[in-house]
Amino acid sequence: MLVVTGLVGAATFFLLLFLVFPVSRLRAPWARQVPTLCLVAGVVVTALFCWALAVDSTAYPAIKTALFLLVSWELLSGCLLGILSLKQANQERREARLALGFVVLGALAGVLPFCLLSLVPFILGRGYLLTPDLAILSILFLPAGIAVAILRRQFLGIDLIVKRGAVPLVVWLALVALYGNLFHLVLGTSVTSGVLGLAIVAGTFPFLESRLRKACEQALFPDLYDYAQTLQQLTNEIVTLSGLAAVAEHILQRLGSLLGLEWAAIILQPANLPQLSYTWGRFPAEPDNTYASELGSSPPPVTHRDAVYSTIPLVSEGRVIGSLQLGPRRDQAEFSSDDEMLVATLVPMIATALRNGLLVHNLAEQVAALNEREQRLAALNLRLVTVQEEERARLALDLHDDPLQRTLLLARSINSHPTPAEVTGWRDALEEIAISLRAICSELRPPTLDDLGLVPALEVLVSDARARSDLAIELEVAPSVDAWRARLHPQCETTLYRVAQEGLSNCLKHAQASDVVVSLVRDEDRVRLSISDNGVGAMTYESNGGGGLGIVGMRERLRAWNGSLHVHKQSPCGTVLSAEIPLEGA
Amino acid sequence: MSPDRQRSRIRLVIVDDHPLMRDGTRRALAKMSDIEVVGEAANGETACAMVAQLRPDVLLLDVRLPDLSGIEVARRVRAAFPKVALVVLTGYDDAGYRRELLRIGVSGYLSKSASASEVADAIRAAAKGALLPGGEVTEAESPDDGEGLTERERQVLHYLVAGRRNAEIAETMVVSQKTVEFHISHILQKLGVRSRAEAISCALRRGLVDQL
Repeated sequence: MLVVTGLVGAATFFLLLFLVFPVSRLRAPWARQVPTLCLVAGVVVTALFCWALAVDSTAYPAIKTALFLLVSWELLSGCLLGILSLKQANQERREARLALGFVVLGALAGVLPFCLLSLVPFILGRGYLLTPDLAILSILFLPAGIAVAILRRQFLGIDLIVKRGAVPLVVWLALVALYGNLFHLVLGTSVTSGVLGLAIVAGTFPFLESRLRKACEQALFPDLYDYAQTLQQLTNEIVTLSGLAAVAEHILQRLGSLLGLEWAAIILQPANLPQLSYTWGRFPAEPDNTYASELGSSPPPVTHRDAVYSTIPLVSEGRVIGSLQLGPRRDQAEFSSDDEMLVATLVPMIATALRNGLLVHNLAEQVAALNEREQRLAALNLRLVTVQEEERARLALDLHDDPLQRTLLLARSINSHPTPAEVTGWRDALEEIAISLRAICSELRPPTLDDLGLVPALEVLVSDARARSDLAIELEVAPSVDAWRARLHPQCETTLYRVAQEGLSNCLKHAQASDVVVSLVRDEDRVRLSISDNGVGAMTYESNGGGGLGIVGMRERLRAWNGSLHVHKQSPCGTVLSAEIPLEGA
Repeated sequence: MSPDRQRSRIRLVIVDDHPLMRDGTRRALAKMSDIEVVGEAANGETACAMVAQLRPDVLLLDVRLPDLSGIEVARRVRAAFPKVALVVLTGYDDAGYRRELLRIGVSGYLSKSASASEVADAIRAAAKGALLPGGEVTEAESPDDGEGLTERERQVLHYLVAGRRNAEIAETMVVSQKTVEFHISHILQKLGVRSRAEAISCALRRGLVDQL
């Protein structure tokens, strides 16, 4: 059995050896046929050998002799080819010749003792001068020669061997031969040594071996992973994923299952946005109190370990964008140095990927906000046109219905000889016309606003609103009426006045309130106008029907002064509409 | 004032941006033997310059002017020439103006619908008494009932107390709803109340209307 494996192994080995030599470059055509011949002869002899073993054992000695002949032929032809290619190799390539020389030397040193001391005497019927088990040991010189050639990095066909992954195969073959002989020497020819030899041959076969090893590892240590491979995989995955949530969740899922964690979380704290958190596994409700202090600290992503979990700041472009939190391992084991290294290597990549995700996220939000504003503005624009037309129609109607009718009536009633009573009537009629026109003018543009300022104008506005409805309306001015003598910019006053007008008009129309408070507060740095009522609330408020421009209109007016508008519901009922304008612009 | 000044005619400057109104006022006052219109101005700056140059006894001032507001003109004249009496004519009658003018210190405050004789009276009063202590304001329209309500306003208040809605009041009085609101707004301001309901209770409490 050992002989069989040894011979098959040797045949394969020499086939490989021939692959090493640039056979195709040999000038002699017959030399190119040598490897083929060797292979065919090897196959034929092996077949005959098997036949002899199975069918006719009497043929064994003859075949054995042929086998030895073949082996010696292959060995010698290998060396021959080596010398031949050394001789024929390009004269200029000194390095190549040198390397080839090493291989040939190695081959000769490895093969000749075995041939001369064992094979040839045996074939000649003289018996072994040295037993093949010992003689074959010299074969070690062959890989040694190849190794030297490889180390010199100049070996004509070496790239072929390297490319085909044949180097480990060559080494393996040499080792198998060695081990086989050692077993044979130690244990003698027995079933045990045969089985052991076969097991070694099979188990150490490079491709089989790596598979076997991995399977064993997986079975024994399920939490073990190939560091380099995993790192590469994760890196690829992180790079190819898009979308903040997708990246975060994938990372958590992969890390969590890879490290065997109970939970993992990514907490992001983007500027100008609410905190975003992604979790995996059984995430506890209150994971981290030390997070805030951790976040503010230095940028380098140092893993912070405590008894329960780890918080690793995510730093991108020198800014802390959040943290990666890893829960304890399910098996309560410590993190290995590989784990820590993996996490430490991945964290900057994760941070970058998340930051990109955040940027896209922010951009998407901004675009959405802009779109919304654009739509609102478009609606406002449409509304503006409608409102303008409505206002004109109302003005025309006001003028037509009242002052014009009265004037016409008066014109008709005037005659040349009036009685005193008639004159009084005319006077009354004229006064009525004047009041009516005044009211119309006042509504279009309150003169008080220009002449006296915001507070008196609001007083008139509130007074008019009281007159128009049954609401109890309070006007509160702070800090004092006198403080308001210093006027704001006229346009700014107009803006606040219109907001108050719109707000009051909303209260009157929609709020179904009984009490309204208009309050005007002036600080050192801003003016705040708020209108609060005890009515039905903001939803009806927002759906402003007729007349005014609604919330959007107010907001746009305020925007010109860097102002802002807030509408919020009060509990239990009512709405507060508040407008604020910073004073530096006003 | 000096006897000499009393005997002479009152020198008046009219400030109004509306030519028709200015002309009308001048014509109406021309009939008055004791009033002499020495100048007319169509805007605030001219008015101030004219006052500085002519030093009139009385300045008849419109509140609405194209450049400076009448309030501002009044303020400047009061500061620079305290002897010039101010009578303000206005198309808008509300408490804000009255209060502000009171602060500045004017001698008269008239609605533009006031008759020529009322205006003349106000001018004479202003020339004679000059600035009244405490800045008491002459109100041409207001009858003397303690609350300063006009006849119309009292009428509207009456209907309010009777529980009429604005539209109904307008219909009854044959005026527009706006006019009614205008009157009610004035009533609320004059009574110093926050709502129509309060105005009604205030009116009943003070006996401003006949009991129904």
